[in-house]
Parts: sequence; structure tokens; C-alpha cells
Amino acid sequence: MKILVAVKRVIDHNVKIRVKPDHSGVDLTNVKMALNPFCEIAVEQAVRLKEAGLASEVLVVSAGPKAVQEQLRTALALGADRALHIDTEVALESLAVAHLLKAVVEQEQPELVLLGKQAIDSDNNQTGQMLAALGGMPQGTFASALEVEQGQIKVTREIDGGLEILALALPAVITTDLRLNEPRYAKLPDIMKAKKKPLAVTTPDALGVDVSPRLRLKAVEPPPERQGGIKVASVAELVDKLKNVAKVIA
Amino acid sequence: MNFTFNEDDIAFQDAAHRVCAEVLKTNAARYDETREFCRESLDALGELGFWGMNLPEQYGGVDISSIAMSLAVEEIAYHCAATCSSLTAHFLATDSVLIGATEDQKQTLLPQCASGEKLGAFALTEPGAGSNPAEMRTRAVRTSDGWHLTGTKHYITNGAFADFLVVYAKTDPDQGHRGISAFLVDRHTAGLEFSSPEKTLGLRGSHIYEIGFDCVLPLDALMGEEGAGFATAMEVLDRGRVEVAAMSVGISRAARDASLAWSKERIVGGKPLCRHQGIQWMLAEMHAQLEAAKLVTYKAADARDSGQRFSLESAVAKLVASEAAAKVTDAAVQVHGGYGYISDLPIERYYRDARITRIFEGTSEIQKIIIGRAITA
Amino acid sequence: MKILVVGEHHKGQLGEATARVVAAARQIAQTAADPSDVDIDVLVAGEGVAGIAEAAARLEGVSRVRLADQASLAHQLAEPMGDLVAALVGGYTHVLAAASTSGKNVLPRVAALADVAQLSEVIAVESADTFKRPIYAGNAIATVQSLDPVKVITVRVTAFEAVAEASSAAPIESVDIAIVNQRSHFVGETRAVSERPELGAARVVISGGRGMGSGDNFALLEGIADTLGGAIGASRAAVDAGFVANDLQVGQTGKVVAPELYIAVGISGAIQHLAGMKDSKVIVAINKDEEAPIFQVADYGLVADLFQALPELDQALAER
Repeated sequence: MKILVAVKRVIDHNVKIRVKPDHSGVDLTNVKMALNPFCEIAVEQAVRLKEAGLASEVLVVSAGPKAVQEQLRTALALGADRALHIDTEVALESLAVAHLLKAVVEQEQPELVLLGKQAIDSDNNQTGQMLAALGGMPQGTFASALEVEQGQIKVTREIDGGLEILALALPAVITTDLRLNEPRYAKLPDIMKAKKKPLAVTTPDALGVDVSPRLRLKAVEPPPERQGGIKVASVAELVDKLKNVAKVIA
Repeated sequence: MNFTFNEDDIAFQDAAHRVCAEVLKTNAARYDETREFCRESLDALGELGFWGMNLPEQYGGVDISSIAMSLAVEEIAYHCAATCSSLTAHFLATDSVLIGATEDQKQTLLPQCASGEKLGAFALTEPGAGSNPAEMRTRAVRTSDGWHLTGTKHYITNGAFADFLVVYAKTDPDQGHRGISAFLVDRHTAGLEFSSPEKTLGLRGSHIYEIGFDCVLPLDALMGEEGAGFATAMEVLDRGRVEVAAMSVGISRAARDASLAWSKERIVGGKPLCRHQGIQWMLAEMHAQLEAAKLVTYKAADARDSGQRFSLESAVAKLVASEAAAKVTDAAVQVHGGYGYISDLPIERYYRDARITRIFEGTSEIQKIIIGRAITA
Repeated sequence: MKILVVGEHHKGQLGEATARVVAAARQIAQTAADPSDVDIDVLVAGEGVAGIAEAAARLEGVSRVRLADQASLAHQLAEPMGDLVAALVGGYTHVLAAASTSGKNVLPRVAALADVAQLSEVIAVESADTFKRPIYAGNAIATVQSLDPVKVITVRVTAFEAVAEASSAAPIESVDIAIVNQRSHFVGETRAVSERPELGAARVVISGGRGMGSGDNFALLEGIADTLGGAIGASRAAVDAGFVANDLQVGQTGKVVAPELYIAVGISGAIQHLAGMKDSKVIVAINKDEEAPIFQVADYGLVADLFQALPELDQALAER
């Protein structure tokens, strides 16, 4: 079974982000970048399936500027076999990424596609589902457990208030949730070995995909400042505020 | 030299950052409070190959540049200086083997050291011979079938936790430093006596010991050639000083970052601390001192890769970076005020941890002697 | 302008989420030249869901309920649901669903099949094509305009007040599109995981301090934690006093948490503790000491004896 894993380069999750003063976006200059944590879980899962003898090859793909090769190399160091970089300077939206991945799926014919459930920058939670729809594949989103069986995959999904188990025909798309596994750290010798693993480069044009944006980002602002705290007189007032003003409980 | 780090440098720094931010950081305060040996953190690094950072691939290492290694050491010290100290002590032992041992000895020992199976200790310093090893009293006398080693070493990092020790001893007391040889001593050799760990000011998770020797070693315990010990030790210390410099940079950076974050959040007189000019100047000085320390450290690391002797560069790096760490961590306490003085925050730990960097592997005064001699030669 | 809301239901009940998504739809309708001319349809899809359609028809502002009742839609799997909604998209300017695990599962498929972008977790309506949504885990708010003919949107339901019940029910019409699904099968589900979320990842954290008095009294926090799907934490003082294990400690030397809701009970607010929770979105403090520093960072402070306040809170939350 060949597995395709799609990964994204994002701001390291430990970094406190700063909105640019002109509200045009988030300041990315000199900010530490990393593999999106959910993508890391996807890579880990693919490598585990390979180690368990259930997968024959793990191909990792990422789209973006040349810098994404850093994250591809991380994935190779973690155990992926080869990498594909889709080189573009365009700020990609989920739909464009899904189209790019669909083109890669057509070329590579993987039986399983693993993605993180969402990227921690855009928080879209769309690409896996979109890819599945475009490729006519079934999907198992927010996966917390996987079981590969003959011709199908059983996936346990984390849904609101519980778990759901589905059986999907292969090829299928799986998006990972936090509890699926705990990713390993890259070993130094493997980082060196990763340099010798193949990393191919292609472009949206070569894949025949139009990646022009469908959305216009008009402003990015910091969230509203914390209001000065207030004292409430009773538990009833507290619950009312949490529900109707702070809106943190439904 | 080039100040843009290459892909490998960044990859190694990143790998170190990941494990340090998640594992080492979690343990650091506990080690400091309980004086528990930093075993768990050290082993986490060992499993990932960090114990072999200083070694070439043929001995199980990873063939990384000294710059990459410095960045990784810095990252480790940033999160747990005690673990960093134990790891760099291990490097002193394995550097000794790499520089001074026979090919057979290297092949036998180093791969296990690189893979995290065998931890080393470097035993040079004695109660009566600190900065000047030529005055050492530890003796190794050739017997019919081996060596009889007697003497006392102290301040030996990793001591009782090490699997092997590189012990420097006089084999020919009449020859001064040319009479010093190095020995590979298994931890379990009969006749080794370990003190309880010293109660130290800082680096409390990294234990140091006094060790008494009265033991018989096999013939092949002699590391490399007889009489070559001093030359080996000096070369090892050149390398070690770059690591102390990197460690100092790591501690300084942690103190600087914590102070910046604190001063942005702490409101005094209606505005953040960092908006008060007095504090801002302190932060500026901390930052400038840190940047200067980084530059001399990277320069020394670069020189180390050149293959030439780099005693001058490593002495400059060690002197500048350790003195900077003292100033930066002191300023960090000051910026934090009373909060910097209590152990709820890691600031006072940085301050204590930094203190030894001006002492071990040659005090600041010794570095000045090295530098002074080199530039007036 | 014509808006389709994908209704959310489970175990024969229309979820409250749907009433909130309808509210978002009404806000979009308000941006039209003539809001009364905007149709808001609710799709109720599933197997044996006629009763749910009736409930949806009674939501204020709903023009029509479209009922798709067939076996292939049982359990509302993503593939048949995506195909169904995509088949209905023609004619609508907006398709909305709750940003629940169900809405997030289905709607991107709809967007992809309609070849349009999706806007996720919308928290405010700026105009018919422009919306606000949080990015970077809420650390920034983006204003985004959709250039596509159909706006496909998931709505963060806590940002919209549920619509009331209407005086008269909207008409219910059947959707007669046969949906086939052979690629995915429902195997089973487990509901109501009693296991509390992990402290570092929980959406709600309720922590106790020295004021709890004993480890046994932490039981007072458990019911509230379970009702809110939250995790239990503690201050260092409570850990040092031996009330709870130290893996519950929130603070500089313990876990650093940033949940949407942090409730500090009997915690004075030492700097060490604040360092571990001050990035929480909303902070509630319950303490009998009016001067406790925790009140300086709390959005809502309740000066009260926790042994009275906690049972009251537990009950109020359970009844809500």
C-alpha cells in the first residue's frame, strides 16, 4: 500500500504571533517555522503503518515556496521515503491545495492519503475533505484510531460528544486528530540520511492546476483586548455572563 | 565565515529545539529543586543521537559542523543547563578518545557512546591541580600485566553515573606534562571510590564527584600512546571551551527572552516595564552582550571546523560568552525584581547555573593567560 | 439572495446549533436590499427524520424546510451528505452549517464539488460576501471576502444567539434526489466519553487552590468539569498541600494552559499560577477574599464561599 501524506509549513506552535501594524496579515519575518502539528501526526501514522508492514512506501508532499523543503526534509527524517515539493509563491487556499493534491493522487495512485485535520495558522479544516470530494474518495476526518483491513480501512473519529467508527473503501482520505498518535522526534543520523532521500520539485502549472485565489483577505486584526474584569453578584449572573456575553458556554 | 546557517545547521537546531522544549524544559526545574541526576533528559537526547554530535560518522556520529553542534548545545542549555553540562562532559570524554585513542579503542568504544549506551566522564582535575594539570599527583605505574592507578580526582561531572572515565595520570613524574598519559577506566573497576555528589550552587541536575583511585587496570587501558595525555587534554579543552561558550549563550538567551517577555507583561506605573527607559537600557545591554557572545562562539566553532589550532578563538569565545552570561543573568534577576529572586520563576536558576561557566574548563583568568600569551607571542 | 442552512441533528433531536446557524443566516439576510425577500431554507437530511424537519420548520425566520429522508443518509456520513447538498447548491447564494464536527466534515466536500472556497468558523457577518473569522487559534481575526458566486460557510455557533420559535411553522418539502453511497459504512459509535480531556488541550479548565481545603473537596469541581467537558487543574499551593497529584498543576512550573474558559476556585493568584493560565480566553475567579490578586486578571469575579458557590454553579450549569 502506498501512502501519500500532505504537510504544511506553519509558524511554530510555541511562537506568540504578532499582527502587522497595517493589519495586512500576521508578521512572519524571522519567525520560527515548523511542520504543522497535525501534519506531523499524519507523517507519524504513515511511518508506523510502514513499520508494521502495512505500507510499502510513504510519499510526502507540500506546496508553497522553496522553504517548505525544510518541512519535507523533516518528514523524510521522520521516516517518509520520498518527497514532492509543489513550488509556488502564491498564497494557497484550501481548494487550490486540494486540486494540487488531486493531481498528485492521479499521478501516484496512493491507496491512502493522510493529512492533518487542520493547519494551526489558517484553522480552515477543509483540505482533506475537499480532496476526498474531488477525487471521489471516502473520508475519515478527525481520526483517533486506524485499522487497515483487506481492501478497506476502519477509522475511529472524534466527533462532538463521542466517537464514531466508519469503514471506508480504499483509496481513502484520512485526516488526523491529536489523539491518533504521539509523533516521534527526528534522530540526528536520520536527519543526515534524509538528505540522500529523493525530493522532486514540480509546479502547479506542470500539474495543470489553477491556484488563483477565490478569497480576498481584507484585514487581519488582533482579537479584542481583554475588557477590564467585572465582579458578578451571584452564580446566576455568572452563568448568564458566560452564556450571553462571553459566549464560552452554549 | 558566513553568518547564514545552512540547511543542516537549521535542521539540527530544530531537532534539538523540539526535544528540549518538550522534554528537557519539563524536567529542568525538578532537577534543580531535588538535585536529581538529569538521567531522563540525558537519555532522551541519547536516543536521538545527540550523544554523538561531536563524532564523525565512521564512529557512529553524525558528521555535523561545529556550528550546527554549537546551535544544538545552545538550545539544550536554553532549556536545561544541567543536562547540557552532563552532555558536554560526555563530549570531553569522547573527544579524548577521538583525539588520543588507538583506532581499535575508538572502534570499540565510540559507537556505543554515540548511540546513547555509554556515558563518559572526563577526569583531569585534582584537588591540588585545577588550572594547571602538570601538577597532578595521580600516578599510573606499569606492572607486569597492567597498570596500577592511584590518586584522587575531583569535580568530575557524571562521575558515578558514567559508564567509563577517561582518567589522566602521570606515568613518568619526571617528565612534567609530557609524563601524563590517559587511561580508559570502566566504571565498575574494583578500587574506584566515589564521594556523594557535591552540593553545588547551580547545575544541580548534573552531578560532580570526587573519585579516589586505587585500582589495577589492564594493559590496554592505556589510551593511545604513553606520554600523550597532556597534548590530548589540551586539544580536548580547546573543543570543550567552544561548548561552554555555546552553553553560556544558551543560558543568556533564556534569561534575555524571559526578561523581554516579563517586561512586556508586567505593568508598573500604568505602563509595561519595558516602556520605562531604565529597564529598556538594561534589556538593550543584555541583548547586545548576548549578540556579541553569539558571534565569538560561532567564530570559534567555525575555526574548529577549519582543522587549524583554534586555542585563541576558543579562549576568546569562552571568556566573552561566560562573562556575558554572568552579566545577562544578573540583569535578568534585576529586571524581574523580587520575582527574579524566588524559585517560582526560572530566573534565579539561570543566575546560579551561569556562575560555573566562568570557572570550569579553565577559569576566565586562565582564558586571559591563553589569550595574552597568544597575542604577545 | 437565497440561503441554505444544513440542519444538525442527532438521535432524533434537532440540535440547538441549527437555531444559531439560522440566526447567522438572518444576519446575512439583513444585508440584502430587501431582507424580507431573502429565502432561508433549512435542509434536514437523514433517515427517519420527519420529526426533526417539523422542529426545524418552527424556527423563526425559516422560509422552508427541505426534507431528504432516505436510508443512504443514515448517520449523515460525509460522502452522501456532500453529494446531496452539492446537488442542491444551484440557486443558493449561501450555504451554511454549524462549525461542529458534523458541519466541518460535510461542508468542505460541498464547496469542492461546487468549485468554490469555504469560509470556516465565521464569527461575524460584515456584508453578504465578507465575514470575520478567527485564525491562529483565535490570536488574530481575519476579515475575508468571498469572490465566489456561492458562499459556503461554517458558523461558530457560540458567536450567534439562537433564533426563537416562530409563531407559525414553515412549509416542509421533500427532496427527491436519490443518493447512493457505497464507499463508506457506519460501523458504530460511542457517546458521552466520561473521560475528561487532557489538561493542556481542554476547552474548559476548572482549577482548585488552597481554598479547597482538602483533596476530597475537589469532588466539588468534578460535576462542573463534566458538564462543561472540561479538565481539572490545581494551583501549586493545592499540590504542595497534597490535595491532588502534581500532574494537575497549572503554572509556570506545571502545565501552561490557554482554554476558552478558565475557572479558578479558591486560588489567590500567585504570579507562578498566573503564568500558567493568563492566556485563557475568559477567566472566572471564585474566591472569598475580595483582595485576592486573581481578581485582577479575572474577566468575571465572584466573591463567595466556594462551598456554597460550587454546588450552585453545578446545578445552574446542569439546568441550562
